[in-house]
Amino acid sequence: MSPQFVDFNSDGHLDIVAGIFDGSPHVAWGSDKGWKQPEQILDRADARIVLNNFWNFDAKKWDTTNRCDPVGQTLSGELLTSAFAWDWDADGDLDLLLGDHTGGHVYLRMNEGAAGASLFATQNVPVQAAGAALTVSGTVATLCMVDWNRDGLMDLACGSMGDAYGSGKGGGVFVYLNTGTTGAPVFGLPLVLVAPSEKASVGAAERPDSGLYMDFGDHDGDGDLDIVVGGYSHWTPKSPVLTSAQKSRVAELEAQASSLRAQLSALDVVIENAIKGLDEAATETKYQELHAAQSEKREPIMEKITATGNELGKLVPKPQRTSCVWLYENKTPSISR
Amino acid sequence: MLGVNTDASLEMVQKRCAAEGITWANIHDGKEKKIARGWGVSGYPSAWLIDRDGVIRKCFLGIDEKELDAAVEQLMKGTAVPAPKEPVKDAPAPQAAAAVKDAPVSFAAPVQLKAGEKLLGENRYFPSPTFRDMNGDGLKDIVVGDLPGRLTVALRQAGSGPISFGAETKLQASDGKDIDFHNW
Repeated sequence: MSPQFVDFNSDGHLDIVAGIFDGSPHVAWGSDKGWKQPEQILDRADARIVLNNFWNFDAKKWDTTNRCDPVGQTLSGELLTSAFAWDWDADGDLDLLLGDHTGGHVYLRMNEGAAGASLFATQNVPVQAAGAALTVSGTVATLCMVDWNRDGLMDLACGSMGDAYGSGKGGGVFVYLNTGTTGAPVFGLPLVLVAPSEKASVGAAERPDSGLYMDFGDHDGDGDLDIVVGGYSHWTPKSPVLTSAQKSRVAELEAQASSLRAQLSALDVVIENAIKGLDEAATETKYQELHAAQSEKREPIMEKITATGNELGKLVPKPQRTSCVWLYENKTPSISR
Repeated sequence: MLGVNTDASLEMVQKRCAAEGITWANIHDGKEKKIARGWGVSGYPSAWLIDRDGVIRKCFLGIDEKELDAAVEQLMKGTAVPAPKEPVKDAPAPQAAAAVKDAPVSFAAPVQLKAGEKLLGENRYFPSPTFRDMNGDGLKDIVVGDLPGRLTVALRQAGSGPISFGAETKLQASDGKDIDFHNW
């Protein structure tokens, strides 16, 4: 989730709006006393604002709905994890832009009420870019509006997730320039501000590679917009040059690790066979019982796996995945227009 | 190296080339953006690395200079740059190209920000930074959210030196507890 500080109910106090991974936008209302704990932002029918997928707090499971699909469309699998409040149609109240974590789309939820008396529509409207549904490469991590090219119109910026866990390409930062008018935005193809990453750094983290959450600001007062970007860096430490004795040891350790993993798998199979066909409650009980019964066998195996891994890690460094916030300082030469 | 420029006018292209020291050949793509459409441009800048036999060896959406240099170097040495997994003809259907008013952007190499003695947002679960003056001193502080729904504040330190922030502190609600966007 990325927080947006905005006076969402026009009461003179800054609120905090954020889309989160439960699939809905939330707001922490501000007052003289500070912020209240966040609550969900509801639509005009007092229903949750979602795309398709959402965490069902009552049933305590993931759920899905087509209740909010755009008129004439049936979507599947789209998950809201980011939101940004902005007056899309310049009618004086704040609408909501919603980012889709699954397919990379962006939707609009119009405010049919007024400033201070929001009534959000019950359906989403797809945002277009270059005449087609806007689709962010690497799917949406976060989104915000910023006047990137200083033409007086707010542009749409998106940070993308990329592949945060596997071997696929990382995320980037894009800005869709607004070529429309105030109250009627039109977006073209995106400018790529931070190129999608190959996740290929060696020796140290060199950049945020996946899960790119960004914001814009002139941090050094030089008149242009810099970017702060949070995310994961995927990098591989430099491997030391191994002696032949160390190479032999690596082979031993790898064989040992493989054998230990096989021993754990054999224990897992015993449990899997015992819980086959049981209902959900019985499965949980039986699983806990058998797992506890195996603890005397499992614990020494786990200890050996840890020790083997630690020794291997010193000889053959493992790929790293670390997170923090980075600054991209804008060095673009200015061009007179 | 051959550039294709989609700016609105030839005059704009000429200004850009002069301002950015672009000395290589550049083609103005004209109003219909036929080249951008034909090549399936999905964002700016895009680049294609083509070998001496005319085979496209690598496509770039956005340009990471290190990555581009490495690919060119590989190709010049004669070592293989893996061809794209998908043939270009099977690339996603091009969207209509739109005129882009702004310049290609250039950033200094990214630097990790520090908050006190630690990195800002260090090892948070998907850290998400936002500029915000939290103490009214006129400086842009940074609020960092994360996937579990917690927020921290790092106050920008005054002074003319390199950008620096104080240690992160948790943002609290009026009930005295940490603000919690209570993820699932």
